[in-house]
Amino acid sequence: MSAELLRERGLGWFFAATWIEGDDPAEIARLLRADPEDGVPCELAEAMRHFDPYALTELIWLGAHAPGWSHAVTIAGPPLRTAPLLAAGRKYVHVVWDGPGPGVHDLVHSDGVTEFRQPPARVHDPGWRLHEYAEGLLPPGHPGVFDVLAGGGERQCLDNWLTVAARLTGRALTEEALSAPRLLYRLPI
Amino acid sequence: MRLSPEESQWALLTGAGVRGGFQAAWIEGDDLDAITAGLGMDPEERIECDLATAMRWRRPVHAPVVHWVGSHSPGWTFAMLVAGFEFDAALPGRQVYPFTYLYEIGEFYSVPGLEWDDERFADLALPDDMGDEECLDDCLVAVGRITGRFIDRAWLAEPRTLGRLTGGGW
Repeated sequence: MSAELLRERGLGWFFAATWIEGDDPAEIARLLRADPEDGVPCELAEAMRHFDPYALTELIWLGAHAPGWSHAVTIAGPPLRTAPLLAAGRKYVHVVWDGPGPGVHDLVHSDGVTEFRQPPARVHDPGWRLHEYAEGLLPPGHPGVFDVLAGGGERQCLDNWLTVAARLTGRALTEEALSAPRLLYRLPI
Repeated sequence: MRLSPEESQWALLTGAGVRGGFQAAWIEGDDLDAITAGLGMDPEERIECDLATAMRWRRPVHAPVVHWVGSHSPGWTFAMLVAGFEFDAALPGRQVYPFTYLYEIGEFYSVPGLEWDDERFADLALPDDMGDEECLDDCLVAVGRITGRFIDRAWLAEPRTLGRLTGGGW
């Protein structure tokens, strides 16, 4: 279960990540206005020493995910701005889980042309853009404050979005996927 | 000064990204250092940014952690809760007009000092106790008359200080 894996990695209460079309992380860093020369190679555990969702700086841990896809995990600061990726015509899927806040956010997806949002409770809406990747997922039940406390309904919602992202990109966030070194970039605010 | 702004105050704020409620205050005074210290802002962890950028940090979490504070008009400072749950803008010895709109329950509380029977606001519909989102705009117009400035597009674009509260952390 992917959400469980995130918890083991210290991302159990806040996780913001974006799967981005493209094999060249340096090029993606440039799109996000980072200095491509500035990336610090490190493993997730080392990047997590800077973990701070309230930081007034923005750090992402960015690297290869699957053929044709890169992956960015927010280490410090707010979730990534997707506008520069949309402007550059990249496909992406953006997932945010904010435990102490509103829980699992709407899935944000671009097909390279337009951006689209899907609420987590509507994973089974017929005909939504990524519906084909949502087949067989468990409905989220009735997410609410008690689910957040119990971690039940909300964790199901997070697992659902992680599964949609895995099916779309052809690779899940496994132990192995999170163990490869990537680059830690500072983004301008 | 005109009696009414050119654009809806609340529409301007929501257009700039204000969402999930509005907890803010107009605070008497220009001495930003004293006001930010009074609000508990960390002197080290601060950046300057406009409202839309500040709203990237918006999170309705239970510990007050990030505020956006800066000049509104001569003699008045604007302060807003960005990440947090409850905003306490009471500062001893200063006139403060606190706005509390709780999106989750749809309640907007009347603003102390903006009284519905004040003749300066005779043309406005100010709540005498509790209202809803509909009441926000007239209260924002009333505070604009008191402070001598309404919110406009220039106001939204002005950089103010986004700062973390001392001890407010993860």
